[in-house]
Amino acid sequence: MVTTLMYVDPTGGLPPPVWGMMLAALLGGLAALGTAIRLWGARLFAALRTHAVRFVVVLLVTLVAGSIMGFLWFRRPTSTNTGATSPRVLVLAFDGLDPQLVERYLADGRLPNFARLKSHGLYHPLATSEPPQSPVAWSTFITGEPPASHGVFDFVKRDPKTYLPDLSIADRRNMTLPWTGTPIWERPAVARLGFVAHRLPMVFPPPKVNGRVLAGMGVWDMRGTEGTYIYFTTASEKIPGARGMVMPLTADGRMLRGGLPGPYRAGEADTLREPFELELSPDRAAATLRLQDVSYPLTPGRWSDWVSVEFRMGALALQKAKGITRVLLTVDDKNISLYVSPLQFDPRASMYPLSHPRSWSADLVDAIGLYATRGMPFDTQAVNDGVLSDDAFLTQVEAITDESERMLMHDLPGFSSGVLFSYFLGSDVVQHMFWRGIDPESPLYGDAETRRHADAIPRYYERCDAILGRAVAAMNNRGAVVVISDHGFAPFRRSAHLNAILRDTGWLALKEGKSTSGELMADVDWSKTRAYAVGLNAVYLNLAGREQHGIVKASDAASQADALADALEQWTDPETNARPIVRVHRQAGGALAPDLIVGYVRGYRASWETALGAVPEKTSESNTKKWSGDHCIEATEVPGVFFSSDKSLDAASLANVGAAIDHYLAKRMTGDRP
Amino acid sequence: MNGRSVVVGIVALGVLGLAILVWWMRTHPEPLPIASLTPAPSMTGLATQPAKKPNIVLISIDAVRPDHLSCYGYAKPTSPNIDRVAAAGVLFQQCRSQAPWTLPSHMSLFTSMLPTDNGVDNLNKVLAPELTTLAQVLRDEGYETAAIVNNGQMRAHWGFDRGFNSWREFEADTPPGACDQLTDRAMEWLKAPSKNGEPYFLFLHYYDAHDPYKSPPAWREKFHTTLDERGARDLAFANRTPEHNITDPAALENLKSAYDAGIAWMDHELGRLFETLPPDTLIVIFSDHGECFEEHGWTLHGATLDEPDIRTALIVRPPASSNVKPARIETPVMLMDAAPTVLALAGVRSHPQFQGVDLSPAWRGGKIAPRLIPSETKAVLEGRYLLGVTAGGVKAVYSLFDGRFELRKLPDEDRDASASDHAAEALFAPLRQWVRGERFWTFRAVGKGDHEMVLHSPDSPLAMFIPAGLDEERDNLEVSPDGRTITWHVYPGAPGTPGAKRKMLLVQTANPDAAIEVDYKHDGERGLGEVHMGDAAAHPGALPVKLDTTLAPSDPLILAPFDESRPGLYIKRHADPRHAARASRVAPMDDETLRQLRSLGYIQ
Repeated sequence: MVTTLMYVDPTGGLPPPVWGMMLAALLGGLAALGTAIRLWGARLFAALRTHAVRFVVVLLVTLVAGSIMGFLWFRRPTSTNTGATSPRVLVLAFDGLDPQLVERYLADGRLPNFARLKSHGLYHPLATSEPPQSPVAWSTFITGEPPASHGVFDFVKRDPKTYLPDLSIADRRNMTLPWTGTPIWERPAVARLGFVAHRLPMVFPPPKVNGRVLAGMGVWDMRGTEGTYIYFTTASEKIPGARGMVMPLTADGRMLRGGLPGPYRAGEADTLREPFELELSPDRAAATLRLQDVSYPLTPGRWSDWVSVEFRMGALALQKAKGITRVLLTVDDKNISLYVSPLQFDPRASMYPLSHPRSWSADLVDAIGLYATRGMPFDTQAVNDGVLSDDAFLTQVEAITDESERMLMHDLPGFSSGVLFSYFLGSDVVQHMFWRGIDPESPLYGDAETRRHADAIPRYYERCDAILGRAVAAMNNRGAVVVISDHGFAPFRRSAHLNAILRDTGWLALKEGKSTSGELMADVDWSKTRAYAVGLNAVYLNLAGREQHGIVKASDAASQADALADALEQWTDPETNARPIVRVHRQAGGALAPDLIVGYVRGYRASWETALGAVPEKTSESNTKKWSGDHCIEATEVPGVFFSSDKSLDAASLANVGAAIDHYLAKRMTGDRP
Repeated sequence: MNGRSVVVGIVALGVLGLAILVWWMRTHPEPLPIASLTPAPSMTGLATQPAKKPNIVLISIDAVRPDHLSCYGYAKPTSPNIDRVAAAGVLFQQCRSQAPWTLPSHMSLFTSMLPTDNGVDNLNKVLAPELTTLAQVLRDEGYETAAIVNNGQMRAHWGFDRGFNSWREFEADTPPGACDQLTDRAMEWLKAPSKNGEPYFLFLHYYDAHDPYKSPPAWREKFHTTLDERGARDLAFANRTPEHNITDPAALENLKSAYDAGIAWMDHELGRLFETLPPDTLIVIFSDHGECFEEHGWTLHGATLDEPDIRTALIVRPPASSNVKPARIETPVMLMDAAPTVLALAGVRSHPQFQGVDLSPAWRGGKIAPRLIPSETKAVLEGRYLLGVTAGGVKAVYSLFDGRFELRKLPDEDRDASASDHAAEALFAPLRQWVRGERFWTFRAVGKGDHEMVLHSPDSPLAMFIPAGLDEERDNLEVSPDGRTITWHVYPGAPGTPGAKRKMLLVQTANPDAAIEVDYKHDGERGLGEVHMGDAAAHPGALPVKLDTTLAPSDPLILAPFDESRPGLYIKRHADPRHAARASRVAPMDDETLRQLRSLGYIQ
């Protein structure tokens, strides 16, 4: 295992025995010299006077040779002084960094470190995967292969035997990696030199590597979802469409009580609760949360420190599941609310391995403090549902970005060879949630709250720039720095209800008497349905022999796919007269692969209802949610970015980045220079 | 020689020496191991991590009652070699297993989880992929892990091999699987355990003390038994249940002696292994369960939670360098404690999944906090479903098929010992909680004549089926090869008549809420009025009838023996909505596993 964490030894790495030998040699030499002078001093000085020039020359040669050797000695490869024989590449992955915005902010002078990187190295947009979704794109980065090879086609996949959707970012049933292929850490040079990754997407459970890896996207929360928030409130009004858990907070004067829901499996009784108390101060300006004999001070409007909870489960309550969360208290004249961020595994004691080696997730806590372990740790759903404010969300983004940066800065000093991959998801979620601030055509552009955070996106780009600057400084011009993003971004102004479009164009049929269907294709008549959509870009033929109730013959699949692609590309939004779908791609890749990948134009995206297989009445509508930017559209519309400090390390597409890095490292291992 | 020459020579020597030093350091860039590298504190993991992880040998001596080992006080010299290891280590006088048979007991130890919690409480169930084993933890920490095992129930099929770099199985009751061969294989492996000097974790499973108490003639002679393996098996199996007992003391002693001979032979072969293990090896010896010899009417093991069934050996010999003084610990402990203890002694962070505790405080002057020691058995062949907890010298057992709680005073296990309500309730309450977390179907056939029920589970394979009261000569239970259909054919007899017997079947599907289809005939005829569903005893509209979660659930806690007299089939779905259902992982057994289980008598 490559040890990339070392202290700098003030002795220069020399152990006592060697120091001893050197000291002895020095003293011996001085003694010999003294003896020589004593015995032959007169003759020596006479010889020196006679041969002064020769003596000076010898002395100078000795001094120069000694200096050169000393210089080389202190320039030898060490933990902080990597020489030419320890090639390394730092990869900063800012999810969703968009080239159009980068170029705009570069022109505005807001990204000095990116500017320096571009001028000394290189920059260009980076072709992304089709479709340009993070799970697909990062699987492509990891394997160097397209979706047809690695097997991840969309955020959401479906089971052809039940038509039911499931997330593709982790295989919960079998606890295996969701993609197939040779990952970057098994490429020859990377495997030899070492691989360290922070919050790497699509690696849960974390694989064994020559190095360390902390899993990112794919790690679920304690309730087995990507993030189910819990909102306790004294208010009696329901929150329509809320996707989190809205639970009662019962008040008894200044004392409020609730029960924190514990681990849960879909379809089973959800009964595990840990009771807590919330005591308001008399002036209602503060509160104390008491949970399992621990008290947490709360200030309304501010995130708490990390709150720990332990659930007991099993036949005799011997099973322990430890989690962490942060809470945010809101107090107003009418109601009191306690927002609880989705419970996530405590990295010090997680039931599931969060890292390889397993102990590293706990060791990181020792190094940088507690950190979010959920793969997608930002509470975007809560913002969409209106239970979390923009301010609170941005504070959360800052805190989690800070964690990633602390991980990076902690490991950089000891990074001596191979690849160090550092991932930041904040750039993605900030653009998702605050595109409305930079898009004058967004329905929310003029809102006061939007205006107040109009600079959220450029400020986050500046944050990325600052991180880059610190990282480059720490690298000290030894090794390459690469910045990548998996895709770019575009406005999300209109939702396309793809299943409704399929219904209206005769490809999907509903049960008799139904004009709409709820989620999970509940009211679809499969005996008359030729195609259906699940996920954000995927369309499937209802294929006989593959789907449980398939009707399209295999011999007709190609022609039906062509016909459907044409129909979708020709379809016009009746409300805007625009064609939302610019291109439909044929997709191959086995029984689980979609038949078509839909590429939307900028401004459009599949609706949330489409992702879960619902069929609404309308075929499209305006997007009025705060989630106002997206990238699940035509891939050529949203390339990512590629920066490199070394022009010999270049890649045109995300799929080539891994190979390029490996090639770069291999060249340096053999001593080749560009 | 002149002064100039001397000066030049000295300077040249110095430069040469420096040059040699620089050349050597540049061609050997790896830091020297002494003091030149201090690992960052974040990599150490534990404040008390030992400088070097010890090699670990974990040895299972299947079916060995601790009171038949000399180091536990047995009068006969069955275990001189194990005794020597115990004398140098820590012996736990009161260790209990979490199940009285091989599969669930070992899996419970490997995962440090109760069988009900890890799901492997039955032959049909396999370990879920999200659960972690001791071997996995050690391998993740850099150990080279290997296992050399025998027995049809120690197969990779159930997940035992998880975490082992090398997993070698030898069939029990065959020459390659005998203890001498096992020791030979172990000693071969120990010659070169790891490639790069990593510490190793070796697990060995010795089956030789298990029925049919097989041992070479010399050992049988030494222990004065006339029984060979066939004779021992016949005698033990013929008197398996309290309905048939070995009443002749000499015959019982003969059987025990055959058992002792097997232990002694195995101990002898273990002795060869022990001789090769360096003093700094962590050695842990345990038995997975005991063996009954008519203490309460039973022989063999697996059907009770009696002390002879669940009391096990547990001996820990820490590495010599840890300077642990030999000790005998009286505190009650359990096999689930083995894994956390091994990890603690290896300086490895424990796993949050582990339900046991690290026992090392016991020999360091600290205390192990009093706690409930749980045990369970869901025995298919004997038709028993028992849950038990032991604490404070008392044992509480719940028998599902009898619908009865029992309180026993230890060590003699006087049944229905009186205890204060408070003391009894402290033990009964967790058992109630335990069984209420289970979900299953029960079927009861009542009345004279021929009752045939066919149960089909189209959406979920069967995870468990336990027939109670099955008459081996007359009744029949068959499971289809795909594991989704059961045919249950029984003759209960008219209630109250001689020979009448309660016939009951417990069935659990892998998805406990999956729908099932039931067909029923009484004396060859379908009678809708003879099928009684749920507590309301409703009748189906047709047969076969589809049953699912729309049938109102009955309490899983069955509190009275079933005594319905109306003939027919009684069906209940037991579930407590306050408890989350637990899905089971079921995997069809391959032919080799089936063959071995049949040969060992676990499947009939």
